Parts: sequence; C-alpha cells; structure tokens
Amino acid sequence: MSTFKTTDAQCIRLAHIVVEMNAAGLDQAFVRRAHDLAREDQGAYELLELWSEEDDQAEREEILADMQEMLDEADDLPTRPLEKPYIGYDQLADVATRVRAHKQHLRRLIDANGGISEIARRAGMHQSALSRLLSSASMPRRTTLYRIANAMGVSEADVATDFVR
Amino acid sequence: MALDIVITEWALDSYLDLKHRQVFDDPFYGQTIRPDVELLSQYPNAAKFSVGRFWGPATDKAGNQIPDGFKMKWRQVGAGLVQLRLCVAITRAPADSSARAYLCRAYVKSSGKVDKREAAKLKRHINLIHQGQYVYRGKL
Repeated sequence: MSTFKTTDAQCIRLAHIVVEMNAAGLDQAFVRRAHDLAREDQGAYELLELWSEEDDQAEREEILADMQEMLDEADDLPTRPLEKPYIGYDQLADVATRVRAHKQHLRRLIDANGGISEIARRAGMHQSALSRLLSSASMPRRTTLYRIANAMGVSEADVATDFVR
Repeated sequence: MALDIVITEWALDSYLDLKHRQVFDDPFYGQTIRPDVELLSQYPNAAKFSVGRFWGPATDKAGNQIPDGFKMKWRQVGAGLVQLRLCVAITRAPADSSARAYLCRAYVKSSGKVDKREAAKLKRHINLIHQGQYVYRGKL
C-alpha cells in the first residue's frame, strides 16, 4: 500500500497537466504512462507538477528524464525485496569506468544507427532520458538496453554488459 | 537497538555517478561520509542527529515534511565545494522486525530545483520500500 498516494485534488490537477503535456508535443504513450503512475504515486505526481510549473526548458527536460527513469523502473519492480551482491566503495571507481566504457560503445552504436533522437523515438523513450543514460556512470536497466537494441535492430550481444540494474 | 543500514540500489547507482564525476575524493569518503553514515546505526541517539546543518527531515516541494524521509548533509565538498545530500528513509518493517535505515539517492544540491526533484523521487522510493519492491546491495 502506498504511503504517498495522490489525492483527489491532485488527480484533477493531473488531468490538466496531461493536456498541457500533450499540447507540448510529448509522446502520447509516454504521457499516458506518466499519467497512470502519477495517479497512484504522489512522488510521480509531484514530478509532473514540477514540469507544469517550470518555465526553463532545460529543467523541464531533466524532469522528463526523471519521469522516464521512474517509468522504466516501474516496468521492472521486484515483487519482494531483492538482494544483489554488495559492491564495496573501493570497487566503485572500477565499476564506474567499466559502465562508462560500455556506454561509450553504446553511443557509437546509436550514432551509427540513426542518432540519439531517432533511437529514443523508436525505443519509446524521452530523448533527454537517453542522453542522460549515455552521459552518466549509473548502471543501465537491462530492459532499457533491450529496448535500445530493438530500436537499432542489433543483437543482445551488441548491448550486453556485466553491470546492469 | 542498533539500526540496520540498508544500501539500496538507488544509493549505489548515485554513488557510481558521483564517484565518476569526482564530486568527493577517497579521503573525504573515508574520513567524513562513511563515519557519518555509520552513525545511522545509533539513530537517533548520536549527538550529531541534533545538528540541523548535518541532519534533518526531508521536505517536499510544498515544504511539508516527508514521513520517514531524512537528509544527511555535507557542505564545501570536494574541489567544487559543493553541497552533498544523502536521502535516507528510516522505517519500521513489519511489527516483528527491527527498524531500518535505507540509504537512498545521494546528489549534489546545485539548486533548489534539484532538491524538489529529489524530494519527489524520495517519496517514490519510500513508497516502494514500504511495498517491499526495492533492490538492495547488502548492508553497511
């Protein structure tokens, strides 16, 4: 059961935000998924409310990238607490280097197969989310890599990496 | 009773990015961040938790306290002299289990806007923790 559940008033406000997002030309599938999550989860709702209240386009893109991450995570949630192996602080630098090398490889593949904008569109991702994924040292989601691979028409082996969420 | 300190995957991932960006160096981690985070095992009894510049409740975009949400704070961090924040959820598991501190996202507070986005994410993470739908990478 959610501790932070979107209120009735927020759900009504959400309907207006969705219209605004649609008018801004955002992908309709993205808007629908964001709406569905925000109806249930107050954190997701507050991200959309921040987007609506924000004038700065760069900040809006950051919010949309945050929402994309929430949606991608929602597709992949464990049904109970899932323990993965510990990674010690002294190993972080090495892991980050390996994650970055993989993302640089991914970037080259994306550039060779249509570019970020096109691959994001085909993968059903917001462009700012794909840009953020490629520039960070955070571990990519396995399901996100699958979507990117499918969008490029390449094999799983071309996008596989040891460090995924 | 000592609190278990759970390392969520949100925390691990954010540390990977901060490490890559060289936000803090190894000495700062070993001499400051790590000992401070380990204090969570003594929450709320360690004196430092009474210091507002170090620890306090997390607040949402409307300024309301986020139940179970807290922030650990460091200032003048690294070469960039940035403000570093670590979101922590302190919850009670089902009635017959001990309380736990869940390390959530760490981030650089570069603006109030970043704080508001991170507060929204913390709410989502606390929901998922309460629902048992989270990934963790062991305990500190």
